[in-house]
Amino acid sequence: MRKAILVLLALASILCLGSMPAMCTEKTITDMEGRTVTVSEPIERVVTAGETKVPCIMAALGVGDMIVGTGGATPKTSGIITTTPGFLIPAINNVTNLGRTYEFNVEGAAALKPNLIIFEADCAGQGDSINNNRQLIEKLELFNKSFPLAVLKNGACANPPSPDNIYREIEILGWLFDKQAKAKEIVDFLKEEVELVKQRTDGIKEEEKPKVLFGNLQAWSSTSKGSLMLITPDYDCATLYPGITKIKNAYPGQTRVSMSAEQLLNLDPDVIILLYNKQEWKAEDIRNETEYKAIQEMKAIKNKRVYSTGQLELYRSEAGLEFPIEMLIEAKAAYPDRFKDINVGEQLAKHYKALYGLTDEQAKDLKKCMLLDWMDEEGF
Amino acid sequence: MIHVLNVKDLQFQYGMQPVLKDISFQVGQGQLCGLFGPNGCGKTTLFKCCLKFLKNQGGQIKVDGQDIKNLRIEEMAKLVAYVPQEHKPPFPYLVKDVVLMGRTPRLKSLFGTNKEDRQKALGALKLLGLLEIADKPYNQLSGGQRQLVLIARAVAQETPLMFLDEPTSALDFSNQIRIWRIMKQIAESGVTILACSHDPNHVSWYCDRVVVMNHNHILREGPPREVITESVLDEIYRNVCAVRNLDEARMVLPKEVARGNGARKHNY
Amino acid sequence: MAGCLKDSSLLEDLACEEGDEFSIHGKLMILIALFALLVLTSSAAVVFGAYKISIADVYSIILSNLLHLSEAQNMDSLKDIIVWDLRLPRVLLAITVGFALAAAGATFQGCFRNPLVEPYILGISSGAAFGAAMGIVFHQFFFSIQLSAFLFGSLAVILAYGIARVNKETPTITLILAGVILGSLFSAAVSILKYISNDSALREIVFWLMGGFYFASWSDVALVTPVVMLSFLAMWSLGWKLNVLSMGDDEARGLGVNPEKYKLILIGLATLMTSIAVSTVGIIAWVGLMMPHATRMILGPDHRFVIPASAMLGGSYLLICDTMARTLTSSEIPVGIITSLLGAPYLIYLLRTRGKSVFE
Repeated sequence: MRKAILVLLALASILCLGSMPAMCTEKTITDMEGRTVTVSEPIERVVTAGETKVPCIMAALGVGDMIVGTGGATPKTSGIITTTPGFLIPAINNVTNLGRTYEFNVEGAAALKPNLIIFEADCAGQGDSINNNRQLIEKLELFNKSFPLAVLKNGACANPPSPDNIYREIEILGWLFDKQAKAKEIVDFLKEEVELVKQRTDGIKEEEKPKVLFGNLQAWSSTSKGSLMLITPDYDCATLYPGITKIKNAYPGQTRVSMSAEQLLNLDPDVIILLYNKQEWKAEDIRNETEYKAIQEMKAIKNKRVYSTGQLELYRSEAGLEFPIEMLIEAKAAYPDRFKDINVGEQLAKHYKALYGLTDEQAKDLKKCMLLDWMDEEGF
Repeated sequence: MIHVLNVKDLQFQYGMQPVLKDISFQVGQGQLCGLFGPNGCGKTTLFKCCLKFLKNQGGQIKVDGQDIKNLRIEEMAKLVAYVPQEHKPPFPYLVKDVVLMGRTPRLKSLFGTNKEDRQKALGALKLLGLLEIADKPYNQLSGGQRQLVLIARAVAQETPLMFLDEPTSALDFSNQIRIWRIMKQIAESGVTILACSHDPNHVSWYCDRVVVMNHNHILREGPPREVITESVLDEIYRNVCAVRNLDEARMVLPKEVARGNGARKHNY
Repeated sequence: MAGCLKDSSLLEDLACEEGDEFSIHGKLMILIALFALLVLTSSAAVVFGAYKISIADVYSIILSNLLHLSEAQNMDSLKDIIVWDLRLPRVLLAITVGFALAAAGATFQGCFRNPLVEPYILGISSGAAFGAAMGIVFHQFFFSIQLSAFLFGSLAVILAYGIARVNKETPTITLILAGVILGSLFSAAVSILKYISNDSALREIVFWLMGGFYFASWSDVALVTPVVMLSFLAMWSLGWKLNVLSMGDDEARGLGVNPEKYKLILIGLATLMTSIAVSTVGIIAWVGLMMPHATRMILGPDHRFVIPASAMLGGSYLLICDTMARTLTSSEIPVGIITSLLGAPYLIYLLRTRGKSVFE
């Protein structure tokens, strides 16, 4: 009799445990704004706000299909896949676009009934302002009882900017989605790539640094008025980690400016790194097109030291986890001798395959999307 | 004779420029007084000083026995009504509303008019023969009608003294006569009127009293038959005017027309 | 001896019995109808939104919050937050700002005797834009963007007034010109600030200039509503005097209304309303210009009716525009775009059908 009761009790407790709502388990973590975030398992519907590293990380972790709404991860004109998350998670192009930070539709986000909202704040000069970030966080925090908000910050938010923030982001997300192992893999891979750059640029002295100019070629509507290039300062769309890449920006100012031929000739950089926006120019344009005839005498152009970071910088928000590649391109452009044995194009393919699990074909397509296929063409 | 308007030794200058010098005159109750003079003689300035639109530097102005120096704008508005030359305002107020505005200085409540105000406004409309057009927008009327509306407004203001600034300048002949007739009628009911004009005939036909100004001072004042004479007119308009008597009336004519060059001769 | 009046039997002889010539019955009815429209629009607006909440739920949430009932019912706290913390403050703010801009527009048009005047004519918008831009670019020195926008917006008007005032008189044309000059000066300064700012500050400035109710909160409502309502009541009580003022400075003086004093008071009130609205939600055009027009075409130019009617119509209109702005697409459209797109055709229609009666 006692045995039977014990067995019954055991069965009952098993049944009870089994039928208890899965919402029973909760976990708590501190986000990058110092807030305590309590999340109940399981997480199935996620809304991302702010910049787009989060969807990329989620894609790398294999949970990209949980995204039901994003603000800013997809371009406003649908049908064109020009962002990394749009490529990695094709479904993301069809989810609700809730708008950038300053116009984020909070009610729309709530209507999607998410389990979690992740907001990534970007602090580079090109991000949304601190004021807008704060206002959005305030509004989102109202919904704390219904769905938690996790606030992340990208590399530019550290002072000086540091990729440690990004590692922390990946860690937090790995922990949230129960993919800690994969997260560690990703972080290790990225750290390795960054380490590579650090090693090779070790010991470079100030006098040795060449002048590197970061800029965007202007369209005809501007060149006809004499403005040839839009020049960007550090942190904005130029190098984000000059401590690692040891890049000296040829332009000393703090804000973006457009420059005429005369001003460019005056700067006289050693190296030019082109940032592309949506138009598909090639580096050759600057050598061949008549519009740029005036600056074709510059030593950087004559010595063919013109490179490009594709879409990784002008729209850093759409670039994903490719910041080590960004560093690599900049460093090799400035110090080709130190990186002679490294083929960045191949490294990028390796990077895509390792992080996102892409095939060779897919990696090639993504490179094209990000306008980085020039590296394979030129053997960079 | 009670003097409703009493001006004594009025001095006024714009900056360094003297415009009115030693102006003194009186207007009795119920008189229709014309203020006559050439352009630039200071008529308008005198007007504005009496209305307290401008501040005179010397002299005294008394309205209804009160020195206006210390009167506030609201109090002035209960003593003197101002009728400007007709103009087109930007908003299409109805005629009856324009006339009702005349009751402003006497409004008792903050929000609007009471029954007495409205009745008096209607009375003013009736006097000026404007009842038929009372519902029309003010800016759709003809010039003559607009001038009449402004006079009605002044009548509704119920002041002992009324100032009219060139009320007939922009009107056709029949309207001019109509306005003068109405002014005469209003004066006969006891309201004192001071009207600017530069038409010597009008002042000589209708006014009880004329004040003639020239070069910033008063030339002559008195009843029209003493004041509107060839010698006075010659001082103002050199060699232009001739004055003739016609039955009971006087007529001011250009000299050459009076002599009959190209026109029929008149008999004395 | 103001006894002369007794002798004048003119008006007594002629005083007519009042019929219904001066009846304001019809106008009062229209005012009531506009109020009903406002109530209707706001009741409807709270119901719309990206998150589907039933009408019954919406009203019970509002009711329970107003009466401070505890959340004993299974009131979904999510719905509660959406209705009470997101939608309701936004609806109220939109009404209040529409109120302010329209009433201020009516007053400015009366003071300047010109139906083509916007409340921004004296440089308020450029001044406020400058203040906001300064607050954004130099955020370490400026305590609050809103305060800075308010101060500089009001400063622009004070400066315009100071420039135009000569010999205790402020002629209208001089005032308008001074406002235009200051407006362009401040706009140039804003361009300079845009030029020297980094990208994110630039984006924030541009966004601020577009105007919107994105982040409306109860603290905004608590700040703006009392200021706007009190100023509105003061303005409305001066409606008759504004009628007189709009006939002309000298005529006003002749009728006992001191033009300098009342223009100052009215412009001051209108500036206060406009500044507080602009500093909270940015620059929203058209409402202040169009609503007084529309009202005048229905009610005639009597400011005792035009001021409250424009205010209510402005509140309803801006509320409709803002509701469209947040529900038409998945992200939000700047509300200024909608007010212009809806407003221009309407004004063209009015111009062609009834324009003559207004402008002749």
